[in-house]
Amino acid sequence: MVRLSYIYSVIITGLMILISSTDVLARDFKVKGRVTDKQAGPVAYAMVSEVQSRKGTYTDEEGEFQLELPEGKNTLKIGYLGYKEVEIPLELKKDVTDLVIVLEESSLMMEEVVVTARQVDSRNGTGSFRIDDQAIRQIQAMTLSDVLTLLPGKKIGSVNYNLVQQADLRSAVTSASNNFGTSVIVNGMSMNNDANMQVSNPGQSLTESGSSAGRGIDLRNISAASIESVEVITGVPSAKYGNVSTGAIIIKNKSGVTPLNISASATATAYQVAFSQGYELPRGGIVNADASYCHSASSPIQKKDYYQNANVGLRWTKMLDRKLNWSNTVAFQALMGFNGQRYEPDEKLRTVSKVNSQNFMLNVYGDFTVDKVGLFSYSVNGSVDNQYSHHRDFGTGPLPLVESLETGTFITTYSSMVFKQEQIMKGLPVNLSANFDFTGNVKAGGWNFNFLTGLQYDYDKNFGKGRSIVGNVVQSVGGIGARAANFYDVPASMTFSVFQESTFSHQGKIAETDLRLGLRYDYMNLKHHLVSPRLSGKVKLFGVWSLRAAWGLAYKAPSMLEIYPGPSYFDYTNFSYYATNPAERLAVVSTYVYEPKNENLKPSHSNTVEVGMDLEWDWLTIRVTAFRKKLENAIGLSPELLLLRCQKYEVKEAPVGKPPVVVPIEGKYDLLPRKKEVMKNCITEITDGLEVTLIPAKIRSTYTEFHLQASCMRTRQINHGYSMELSKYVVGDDKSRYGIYERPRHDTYLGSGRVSLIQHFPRIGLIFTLNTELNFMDYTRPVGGSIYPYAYYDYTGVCHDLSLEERQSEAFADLVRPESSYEIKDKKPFYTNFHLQIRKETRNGHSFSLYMNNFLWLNPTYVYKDVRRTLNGIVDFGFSMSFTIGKKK
Amino acid sequence: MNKIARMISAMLLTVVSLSVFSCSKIDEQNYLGNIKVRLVAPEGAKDINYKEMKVKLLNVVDASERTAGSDENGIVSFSELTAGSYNLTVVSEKYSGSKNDVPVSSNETTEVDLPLSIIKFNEGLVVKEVFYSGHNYEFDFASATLMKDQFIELFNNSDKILYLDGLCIADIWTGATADMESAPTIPFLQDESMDHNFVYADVVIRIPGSGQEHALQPGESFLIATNAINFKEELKRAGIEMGMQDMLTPDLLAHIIDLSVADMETYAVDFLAEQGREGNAFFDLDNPSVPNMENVYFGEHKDFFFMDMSGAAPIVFKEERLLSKADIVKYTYQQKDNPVKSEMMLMKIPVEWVIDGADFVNNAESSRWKRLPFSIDAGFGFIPNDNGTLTNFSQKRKVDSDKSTELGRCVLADTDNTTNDFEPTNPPLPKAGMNI
Repeated sequence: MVRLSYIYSVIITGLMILISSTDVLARDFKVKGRVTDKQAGPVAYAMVSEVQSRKGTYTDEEGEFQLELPEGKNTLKIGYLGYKEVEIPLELKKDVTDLVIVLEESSLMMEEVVVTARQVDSRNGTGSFRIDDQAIRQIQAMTLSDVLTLLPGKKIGSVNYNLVQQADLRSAVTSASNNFGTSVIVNGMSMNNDANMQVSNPGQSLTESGSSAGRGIDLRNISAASIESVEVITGVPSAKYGNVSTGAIIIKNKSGVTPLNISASATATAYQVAFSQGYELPRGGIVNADASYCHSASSPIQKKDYYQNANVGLRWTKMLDRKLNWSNTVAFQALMGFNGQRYEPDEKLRTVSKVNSQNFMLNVYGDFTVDKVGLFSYSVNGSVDNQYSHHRDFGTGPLPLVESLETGTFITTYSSMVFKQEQIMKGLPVNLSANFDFTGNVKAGGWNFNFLTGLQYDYDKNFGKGRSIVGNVVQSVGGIGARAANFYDVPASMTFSVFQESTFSHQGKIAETDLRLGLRYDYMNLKHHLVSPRLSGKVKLFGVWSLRAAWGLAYKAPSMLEIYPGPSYFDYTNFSYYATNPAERLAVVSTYVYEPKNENLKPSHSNTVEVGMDLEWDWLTIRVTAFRKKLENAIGLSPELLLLRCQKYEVKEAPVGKPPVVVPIEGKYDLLPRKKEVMKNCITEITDGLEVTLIPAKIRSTYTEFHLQASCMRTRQINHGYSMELSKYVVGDDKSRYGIYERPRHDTYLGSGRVSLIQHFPRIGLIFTLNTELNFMDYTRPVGGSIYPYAYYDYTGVCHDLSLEERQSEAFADLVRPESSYEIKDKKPFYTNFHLQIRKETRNGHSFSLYMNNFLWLNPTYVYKDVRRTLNGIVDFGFSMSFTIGKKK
Repeated sequence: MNKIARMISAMLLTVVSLSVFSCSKIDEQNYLGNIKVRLVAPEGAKDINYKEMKVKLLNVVDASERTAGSDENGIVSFSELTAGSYNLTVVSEKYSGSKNDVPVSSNETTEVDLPLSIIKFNEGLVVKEVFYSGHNYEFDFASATLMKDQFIELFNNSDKILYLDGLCIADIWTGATADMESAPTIPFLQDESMDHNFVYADVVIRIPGSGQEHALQPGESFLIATNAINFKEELKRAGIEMGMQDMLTPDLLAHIIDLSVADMETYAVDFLAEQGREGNAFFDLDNPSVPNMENVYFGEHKDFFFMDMSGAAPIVFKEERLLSKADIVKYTYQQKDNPVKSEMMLMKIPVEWVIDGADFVNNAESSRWKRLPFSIDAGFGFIPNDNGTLTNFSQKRKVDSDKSTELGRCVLADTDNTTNDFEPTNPPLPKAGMNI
C-alpha cells in the first residue's frame, strides 16, 4: 500500500510540474455583483464563493461583492442563513459587473423546503449527507445526536440523554472503535477526545455511563441550537482531514446578521431552551451569539438521575481587507455537560455520582485571496476540557484495608461494616491545533485544476490531577482495584501532517468528469510515519447518469487512555482472622500491581472502497452506493495469564486484646492463575453495505413528496486474539486451569429503510412528515469458534497444547464450553413503526411543531426459540416552539 | 389500513362481549368448581383410620388455604372453589402425601387420587431452621449484610445422642425459582433427561471429624453459619463510626442477628486458592474461634458457601463413599427469557443417602419448580411476602407441642412435608425458638 502511495505522489508532483510549466493559463476577470432579497433590499454579509477554487468573499452593507475569477466555467454559490442557498453557473469571457442575485427566504411559506437528510450531489464521488436548518427544526433536534437520526440506517426515536451518545456511522453494530474513528469538525476545527482519560473503569464506579473516554466525541454535549448545517461524510473524507478512520461530521455554525430566535422544546423526559442572534457591529463585523440549556431525566417516571448541558457560542466575523477578501472569525464555544442526581430532603444517605465537563474552545480562522496566486486559509485552535467526576457511596465490608501502590504482602486490619468511600477524578485535556492551507486554481484546455496543500499540527495532553480516593481503601474483590493515579505524568502526543489534494474537473458535452486525488502524510505521536492516499472520481453522462468511485486509507491514533491506562491492582487474601473482639482482628493481604506496557500500540487504520451510481431524471432520482469499510488494527482486549503467589500464614501467638502474631509457613503457598485483559491491536471490523435512495419528483399540484431510503449492512467483527476461560469445575486435589479457545467472528446483519411522506401546504406554512420505518433484519451470527480448547494453562502457568483427540476426551471435560456458546441469540423479524411530525411556520417566522413517534402504538411481538419479545417503544411525544423577534434583514 | 383493521376488531369485540353477557344471564354460570379427593392407602397398610386425616388445599394464585377432614372411606370434598389451580397436602401424624397443580374448572368436579405414604421417621436429625432470604435494610445499610448471615441449623429430634462427624450439607440447585422468567422451562422433577434417583447440588460442605467429635444431645441444635459474626454489634459499631446511629432504630436492630454463637462456619477462600481459584473476600470471613466446615464441591458460580436467596433446598446427607469427579454431571436447561440453553455442572447425590431435606420455592405459584423428590419432602415452603427474597424471613420448623409436653423437652414437627412442618419467621431465630 505504501509503495502505491509513493508512486501516486510521484505522479501528482509530475502533473503539477507539467501544469505549472504550461503557458496556457487562463486570464482572470472581475466579477462584481449585488445580492438582494425579494423586496430588492440588500443582503449584507452573505457568503459568495466559487465552488471549484473555494475563492470567496462577503457582501458589504450594500449587498455588493467583487471577486476575481478565471476565464471559462465558474459556479458561484451564495448562501445566507434563513435564505435558500443558490448556485449560479457563470461562463466568463469578460468582466461581469452587473450581476444581481436574488435570495429567497427559506420558510415553510416557500414552495421548496428540504426536511430530510439529503445525499449531497458530491463532486468528489464519496458518500456524504447534508442536513440543513429546516430538517433540524423538523425533527426538533436538541443535540447533535438527534440530528444524526436523519441518516440512512438510523432509527427515529427519543434519545436518552442520560447516556453518552455516539455516531455509529456505517456500522451494523455499536462499536467503540468505529465511533472513536469518527471525527467531529466544528467550523474547521476538529474536536478531540484523545486525551480524555476520564475512566474506562479503573475501579467499579465513577459512572462509566457518563463517560466517553476511549470512544468518540459525546454528541449530546453539542447543542443543535447553534448549528446551521451538518455534513456527514460516511465514505472517504478529503485528505484535509486527519486522525479519522471511519467518518467525519462537519458542523457549520450559524453566521450572518439574523433576528433574535428563541426556541423551547419539550419531550416526555427532556426540555431545552435556546436563543441565537447575529448582530452587526457599528464598527464593522458581525457577532453571532447563541446559548442553550437542556435538561433531561432518565425516564418520564424516574426523575432521580438527570443530565443537563449548557452551550454558549460567540463568533465575531470581520472582513479585514476588502482587496484581499480577507475575512477573519474569532469563535468561542463553551460546551458544558453535567450528569448527576436529585435528592429528596429526607434522603439521609446520599450516594453521589457526578460526571461534569466544561469544554472551552477558542478558534481563529479565516481566508484571503492573493491575486494570481490563490486562496490561503488558516485556523488556529485551542480547547481545554475541565472534567470532574465524583463518586461517593457507602462501601460495605468488612473488608481488609489495603492501599498499596506496590506489589507485596501486607498485614492489615478490617474496615467496619459500612464506611464512606469517595473517588474523585480530575481531568484536564488540552488540545492545540493549527492548520494552514493553500488552494490554487488553474484552467487549461477545458479542464479545471484545483490544488489544495496544507500543513497541520496537533498537540494533546492531559494536565489533570487524576484519580484520588478519600476514605477507606479496601481490598478489591474479583476485579481491578481503583487507586490514586495522576494524569499529568502521561506524556503529550503530537502529530505533524502534510496534505495535498488535487481536483480535476472537466465539463464536456457528453460527460462531466470530476477526479480527486489526495495524499496525506502524518507523523503521528512522533513515532509513526503514515501515508494515506485518498482517491475519488465521478463521471456524469448525458446529464443523467453518474458513476462514482472512491478509495482511501485513513489512520486514527490510539487514545492516551489506551497507551497509558495506568496500573491495575490485584488484591488477594493470604490469611483472614476476623475475631469477635475487634481489637484482635487481622488480615494478611497481597497486592499485585500490573503495569501495562502499551506504548507500542499502533494507530488503527481503515481502508474504504465505495462505488455508486446515480440516475437523475426530472421525475425521479435514484442513488445507489455500495461500500466496504475495513477497519484494522483497532484496539481491543485480549487475555493474558498472570501467576500470583499466595503465601500461607499461621498464628504464632494470640494475645488477648491484641491482633495475633502471624508468621509465613515455610514452603507453603498456592499459585493463583488470573486472567488479565490486555489492550492489543487485535480487532478487525469489516462492514459491507448497500445504500439506496429513491426520490420521485414532487407532485407539484398537491405539494406532496416521497422520499425513500434504505440501507443494508453486514459488519464482521474479528478479534485476532484467543479467548481464555477457567475450567468449569474442580474436585478433590485437582487444580483449576485455563483453556485457550479459538474466538468466533461475529457477523451482524442490519437492514432498515424509511419511507417519508412529506405533505407541504406552503400557503399556510404547514408541513407534515409521515415516516414509515421498515426493519428488515437485525441479528448477530457467531461464525467459527470452538467449544473445545486447543491448549490450556495449568495452575503453574505452563501452557500445554492439546491434540485433536485430547481436546474432546473425558480428561478435559472441565474445559468444554457450553454447547450453546455460538448460537444466534436473537433474530428479529420484519417489522414496521410509524412516526409523525407536524410543523407550522407563520409569516413572521414563528414556528410550532409536534412529533409523535410510534403514534399508532404498534407493539408487535415475535417468538425466537420459544422466547417472546416485544418490538417498538411506547408512544412518544414532543413539542417545540420557536419565535423570531425583530424583522429579518 | 391498520386503522380499519382496528375498527373492525373493536366492533367484533363489542359484538362478542355483548353476546357473552347475554348468554351468561341464561346459563347462570358462576365460575365455581369442586374437588373430590380419594385418599389411596399405601400397599400393606392395615386399619387405616381415614377420619383422623385432613387435606389442606392451597390456591396457587392467591395463596388462600382451606382444610377439610376425610370421611371413613378416605373421601375429602371441597366445593365452591374458584376455577384455577390448587395444591393438595395430607395432614396426618402417620401418613404424608401431596399433589400439585390440580385444575378446577367452573361447574365441574375434579376427581383426584392422592396416594399416601407412611411417614418414615428418620434417625432423628432434622433441619430446624434455614435462613436464605437475606436482608434489605433501609438505604445503603442493605448491602452490608445482604446474604452474609445465611445459616442452617440442625436439630436432634430423637432421644439419643447423635454424632454429626462427616455429615454433609448441600444446596440443591434447579436454576432458581426466583422469578418465573429465569426458571427453567421444564421443571426439574419433570425433566426426563435427569435421573431422579439422585438430587443435584452446586455446593457441598462437610462437618469435619473422625466419628465422635461433634455430639448432639437430644433436643439440642447445631448452628452452621456462612459467617460466625455478631452482625448486630458490627452494624451498631459502624453506625457510631459514621455518625448515623439515629438510623439504626431499635426496630431495625431487632431484626439483625448474632451468629457468633454458631457451632461451625464456612470459609472457602483458602480452599479455592488451593484449587487455583479466587474466593470472595467480601462475603467470606474467618472467625478464628469458630471451627470451619470442610469444603467438598463449589460449582462454577460459587466462590463462597451460600444458598439460593429466592428459595433454598438444603439437604443433610451421609456419604456412603466419598464424592468424586465421577459424580459430576452436566444439567442443560432453557430459561423462559433466554433462547440459548444454559449448562450447569452439578454434583449428584443418591436420594437414599439423604437424612433430611427441606424444599423452599419462591412463591405459591412456583411449586412446579420444586426439586426435592417426594420421598425426601412431600411438600414445599415459601415466604408469602414479596416473593421472599431480601425479606429477612427465615424458615423455621414448628414445635410439636403435644409431643414436647409429653416428653418434657422440645420436639419438632417432622412429617417429611415442609408445607406442614415449617413456618416463615422474622426475625430469624438462630439457637432459639426451641421452647416448649
